Amino acid sequence: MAYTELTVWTRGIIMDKEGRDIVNSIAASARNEGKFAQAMENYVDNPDRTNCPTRKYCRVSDSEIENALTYENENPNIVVLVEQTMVKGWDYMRGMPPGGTLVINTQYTPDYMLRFVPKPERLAQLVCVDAAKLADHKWLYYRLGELGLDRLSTEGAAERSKAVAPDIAAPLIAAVVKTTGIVKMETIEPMIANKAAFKAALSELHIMPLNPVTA
Amino acid sequence: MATEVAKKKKTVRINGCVASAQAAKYADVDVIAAYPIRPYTATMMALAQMVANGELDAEYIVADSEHSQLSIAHGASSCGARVFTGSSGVGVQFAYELYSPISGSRMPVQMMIADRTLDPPGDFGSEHTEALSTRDMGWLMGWSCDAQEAFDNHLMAFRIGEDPRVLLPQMVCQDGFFVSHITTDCDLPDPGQVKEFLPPYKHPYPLDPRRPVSHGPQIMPEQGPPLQLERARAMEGAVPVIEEIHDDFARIFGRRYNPWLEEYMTDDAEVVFFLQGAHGVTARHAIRHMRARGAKVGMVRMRTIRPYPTEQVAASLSKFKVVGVIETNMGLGSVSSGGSLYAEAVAALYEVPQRPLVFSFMAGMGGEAIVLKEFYWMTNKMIEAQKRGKIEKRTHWVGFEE
Amino acid sequence: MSTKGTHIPEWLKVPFAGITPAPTQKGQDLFPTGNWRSIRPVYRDKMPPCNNACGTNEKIQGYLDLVKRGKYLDAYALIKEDMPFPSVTGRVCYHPCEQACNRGTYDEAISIRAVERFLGDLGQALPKDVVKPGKPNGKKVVVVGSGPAGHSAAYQLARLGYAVTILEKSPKAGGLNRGGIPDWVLPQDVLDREIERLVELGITIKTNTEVGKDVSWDELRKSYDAVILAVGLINPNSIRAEGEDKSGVHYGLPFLRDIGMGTSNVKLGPRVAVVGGGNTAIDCAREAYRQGAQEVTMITVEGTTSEMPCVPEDLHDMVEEGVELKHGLACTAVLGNGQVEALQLHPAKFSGAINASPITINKDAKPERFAVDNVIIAVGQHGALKWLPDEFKNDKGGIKADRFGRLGTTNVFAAGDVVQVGQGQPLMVVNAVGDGKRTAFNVDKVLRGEPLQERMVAIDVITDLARMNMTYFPKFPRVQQLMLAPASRRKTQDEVIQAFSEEQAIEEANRCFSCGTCNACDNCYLVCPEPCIIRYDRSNGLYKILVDYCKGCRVCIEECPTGCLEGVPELDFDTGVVRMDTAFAITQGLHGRQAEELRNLPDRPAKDIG
Repeated sequence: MAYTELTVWTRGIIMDKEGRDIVNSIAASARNEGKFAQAMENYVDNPDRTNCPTRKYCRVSDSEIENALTYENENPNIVVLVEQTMVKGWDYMRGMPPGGTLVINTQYTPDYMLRFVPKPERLAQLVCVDAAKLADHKWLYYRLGELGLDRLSTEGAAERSKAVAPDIAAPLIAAVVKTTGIVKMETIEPMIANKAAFKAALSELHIMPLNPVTA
Repeated sequence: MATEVAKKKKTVRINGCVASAQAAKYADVDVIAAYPIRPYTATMMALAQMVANGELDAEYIVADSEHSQLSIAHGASSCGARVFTGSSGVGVQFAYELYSPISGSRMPVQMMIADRTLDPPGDFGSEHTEALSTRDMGWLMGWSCDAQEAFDNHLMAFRIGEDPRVLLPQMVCQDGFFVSHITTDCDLPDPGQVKEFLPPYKHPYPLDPRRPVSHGPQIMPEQGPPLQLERARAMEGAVPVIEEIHDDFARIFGRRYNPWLEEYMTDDAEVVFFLQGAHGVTARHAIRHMRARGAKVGMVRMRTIRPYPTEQVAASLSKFKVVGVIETNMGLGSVSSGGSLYAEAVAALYEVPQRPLVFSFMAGMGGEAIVLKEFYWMTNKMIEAQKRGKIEKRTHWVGFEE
Repeated sequence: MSTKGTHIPEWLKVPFAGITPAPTQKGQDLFPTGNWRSIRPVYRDKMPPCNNACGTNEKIQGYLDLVKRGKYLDAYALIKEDMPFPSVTGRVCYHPCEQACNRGTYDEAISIRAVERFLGDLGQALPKDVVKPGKPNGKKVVVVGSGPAGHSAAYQLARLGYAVTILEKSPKAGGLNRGGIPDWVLPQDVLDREIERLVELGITIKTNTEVGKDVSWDELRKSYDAVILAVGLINPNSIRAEGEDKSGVHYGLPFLRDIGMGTSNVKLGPRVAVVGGGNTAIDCAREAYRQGAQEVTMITVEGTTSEMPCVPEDLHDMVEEGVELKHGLACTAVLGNGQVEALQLHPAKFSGAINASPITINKDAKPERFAVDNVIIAVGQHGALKWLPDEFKNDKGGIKADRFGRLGTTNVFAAGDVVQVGQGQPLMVVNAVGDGKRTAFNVDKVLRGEPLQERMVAIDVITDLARMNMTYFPKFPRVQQLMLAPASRRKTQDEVIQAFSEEQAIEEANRCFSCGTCNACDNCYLVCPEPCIIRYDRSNGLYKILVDYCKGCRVCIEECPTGCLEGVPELDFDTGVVRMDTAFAITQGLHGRQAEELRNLPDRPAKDIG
């Protein structure tokens, strides 16, 4: 695709790192492939609060990104929901051009999730991946006390580890890359810390094709 | 003060705030005075991580407020420490009392400013008003338009400000969000290069029990004039130093910046945008597209505003027929009823025999992005003025006029 | 003037100086943060263990809650829905509710029976009862037996509008309440008042009327639309000992019954033995002291006191009164010359499960000769059912009824001990009451052609303290009822256990956790950090959670003392979708359009650039 916008919706504090990892790794891979790429967080969603919805953005383009200095992805081609309940919460596909992709981290099937998706005619595919199970996710995300203290900060201030995608972001990145081809597998895989979950996700995706876009 | 830093050059993807923090790390600052205010907070967090990880050996002091922050900076610098601090928006103004004492006592404190609109109400978006409101306080001041430039400007500012011929504090400014929070590629140097470029900080009269001195005593009014004259001399004396150090930077790091102005497609331009900061990035795209449609438009981006490059601005702007000053700041009640940049541009051009038409655009207020359509509209206004031979009015409000 | 000619478009208009109306103003909405949550708090009442354990499923948690708030009449009326005589059970019940009370694993169980007695006595003092007979439906039902099961069945049927007749073979009504429970537990006048209440409901009681003698089985079925047999287990079991027919040998239930009916002419000698280890045996042992005995010994097959099928506190009271215990023995012969002089005791034990298998007697061991003047044998009862067709008798000495209490496909039902004997449930007044109630409802259903219902099993009985929040319950000891001094008890038939005062009843009711059931404590309302919980009507504990705002912080769930609030994954609901537009920029698409324009720019004709 010549110009692609990717928006990740995630929950503040406890899953904020996942969102950042997804957009940063995809942008970095795109740069490594010689494309133009930009990654940033939504400015007004931060500083994030626990469970608050926050957005991360990524833009990938073959030519220079001339709308770089704008605040939001107005027309996201790919939307990722890091936490499944957000499917009920917003019109996250607002502005999506036809032929878009929606990726959700959930244990439910696309059949079940579809009822919550507003105006799914915008979508070409709905992808569900049980990222929490694939990453062998130990903590329930409202048991804050069980999280490592280095995750409990806003905008990642207290993070010690520099690892990219050590947890549930890895299967989500695999899902995005596999179903959209926004970057190449071989470029992004070396960056991912949780390679096992990344690989496992590739065969555990539930993809529901919806409204294809005629070329 | 030796620290563990990376041993080779590398390219990283970081945002402007982290770039500023990296610059402070490469400059091996001694004292960091911090107080959180968004968007500068990201720099504060990055520095905290570096100090906690042992990457940077510095005293990290979280102050009670911005006023306290700058007081700490003043004190630390007076003892001979290389100090790094920063703020945004109303925080910059809260510390106002300290700006004149710091520059007047010739303490080369470095302050990173990530711009933010002043209250009311609460708005994180970028306007330059807060830093510009301190422009007469005697600090060196200039704007970067991306993370790389921010990093480079910080390093150069240490060298310039600490130069024994200058000894002035520096405000290295960048637009909040557009520069501070968007990640782009940034080449980080080899520490050896930085070592070559930046000698240690040495103040001639630090507070030292072994050689006691008094800083900032009480004076009589008659001692005022010479002291102020000295301050003015210092600011003027910075001009050749700035040029010299930009040359040295280019020699060592391979990146050459014009210290005062970036000119973009100005060779045969008839109308130009005169601006500072991140909107120059979008301006370049807009200019290319308009040129493809036949408009003779260019951009002059001011990199340093203090000391004001009067001669350079006069020499540059006098080449054009129309100058549109893009004001991303509020100068309420100013001579143009608009922003603060217009008046100084016009004053710089006053002595020039062939003066261009000069007027201003209020754009990007509150941190709103300036979209291409608006650049087209502004260009049209300049072309119309050129055809008419005179300006319509001194200030246009972009997006709110026909 | 720079602002001359400027115009702010409608969609970008802002209020004066950015000053917005307060959230409480009309037309101003609070920012809907409902989409922050991933779990939703839901009020789901669970079954409290007391209600569940009660033989007639009284709403114990409910009435304790009402007593806490001083609403005694409401509490009394609540008991009366399921239990006709709280002043009786408040004295005699073996309180399975207290055994099940969760507070028992925390400090001490709530003294529920004593509170029920307080309420029952209050109800007895009312000139008119709170319960009224139902609108007459023209149908007639006969209840055979006026004991707990019959009393309860007749009571419920009268409330449903049936014309009820009770046939009681004894001279006074009351069944086991009269004739099996001593006066120092249940005074006669308390029971009389309850029988009066039945008559006030329009029930006809015919005493001295025995089925099989005064009325036949066929007449019963012909004269009434339905029959409930609550005949109890009248005939005492024998221990099959040689010489059991000597004089001076008495049987437990008849002994107590005759005293209760006022027809006893038993005179006890100084040394009395009681054979048996159950509740009846204990009552007999204690009654023996009041009837003149000096030394009373209880002889049980059970090897230890813990094996005895009785209420521990009654055993304790018995021992306090001076009864001795001999364990692991069976009486194999009654010795004496026409009159009992001694018992022959052999070591014995249960061949299998305690109290549920035949006794094996070690005939080879040397027997003990135990001198007594009287012996009271209390080893259980069986029914007097000669008049009942054999197809409806079971092999345990009781009536065979199906799981609805019905005899075959007839309109005859049976309830109480006579059905429950040998089924594994302990035989208790409250179980009989519950059985009578459920059978009455099934009679009503069969007469209206509706499907019958068996006893429902509760789905979620809350017994784990970890599901509640104990922080809110400081430990308090159980309020004790005063009792007569053991030494003085033998001299009188006065009630041994004293009643609660009003203060004591409230104090004890206040210890109730209200397990799993919302009782409007307002904790959730107070701790919610958002304005998310609304109180409708405080007295019945209704709250509403505003799903548009609830962030799912779980504070209410964690702080609910009773554990009735649960966190349910939000995706389990297809309601409560909160689509919030305010997260997006006002100038939607403006910046995106410029990207589009970039791509189209070279194709547009070169004219004015704007």
